[in-house]
Amino acid sequence: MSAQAPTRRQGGFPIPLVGMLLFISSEVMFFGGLFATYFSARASFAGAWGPPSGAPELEILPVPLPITLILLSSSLTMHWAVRAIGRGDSGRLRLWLVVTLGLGLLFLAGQVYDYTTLGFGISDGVYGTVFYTLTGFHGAHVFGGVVGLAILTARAGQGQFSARNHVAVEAVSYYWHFVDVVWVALFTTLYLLG
Amino acid sequence: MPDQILGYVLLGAAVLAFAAIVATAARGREQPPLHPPPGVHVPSGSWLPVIWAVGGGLLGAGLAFKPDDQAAAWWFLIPALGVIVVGAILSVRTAGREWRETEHGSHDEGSGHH
Repeated sequence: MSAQAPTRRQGGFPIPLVGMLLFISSEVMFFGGLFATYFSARASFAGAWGPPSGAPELEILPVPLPITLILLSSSLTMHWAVRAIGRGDSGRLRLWLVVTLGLGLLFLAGQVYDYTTLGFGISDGVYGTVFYTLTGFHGAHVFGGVVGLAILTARAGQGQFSARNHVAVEAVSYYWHFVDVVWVALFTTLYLLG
Repeated sequence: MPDQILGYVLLGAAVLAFAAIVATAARGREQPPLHPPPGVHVPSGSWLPVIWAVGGGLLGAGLAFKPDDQAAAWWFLIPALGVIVVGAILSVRTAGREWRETEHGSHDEGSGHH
């Protein structure tokens, strides 16, 4: 393929979306490695697996479950944003992007608050290290998604998307759904399975 | 020599060998034109990835290399956020310029799909 190749074939899958899917594939490998680290550490850990002694057990309330629901809701609003611009409804696109951005920021604020209540840090044993590594890298990805959403929102405000012309919105939505799925796996692993 | 260092040296040698093979194979081949033909939109080169990498690097450094009694190293985080904001503004401006070229420019009138 040379530079003469079209950026998009008529009726084909847009190349920017292929790029995003390849990027997400690499991210799957990245988080797969982190989950493998968690389960490997858990399997080889001598003693009771969990927060270090003196720290409270992880609970899904009052913070983790609500921020999980917030992130799941943000996937829904992101989907509505994509559907809106697919119909050519720029106003609804802006609305749902702003709502998704707000929900993403709420999730991050909730995660930071949750960190302050855990009672252990990243240096407190193997559990502390893998817990903060997993949730911290996920939080960094959510932050990246929030930056992407902010850029999309600014571009939507300038009227740069249309029913025919919105592949950036779709690409960011793929990424946002991915970080949502990763959080569901993290929440299940860390808070439900323990 | 520790096994890890030997491993890294071997990996580096393999990467260099692969790069040499690719460079040798590419030599003498016809180079693609500098400008795309009419009807094809190819984004121009950009410093944005470098700016994002610097911002992300500073952000990571601010979270990793922090005093024990603080949540983060603010002398890293504040510049990091500044670089990220600048990156976001430049991204919006670049996307806007490319959108105008794609929608209204002369070299891509049919496949504009940002």
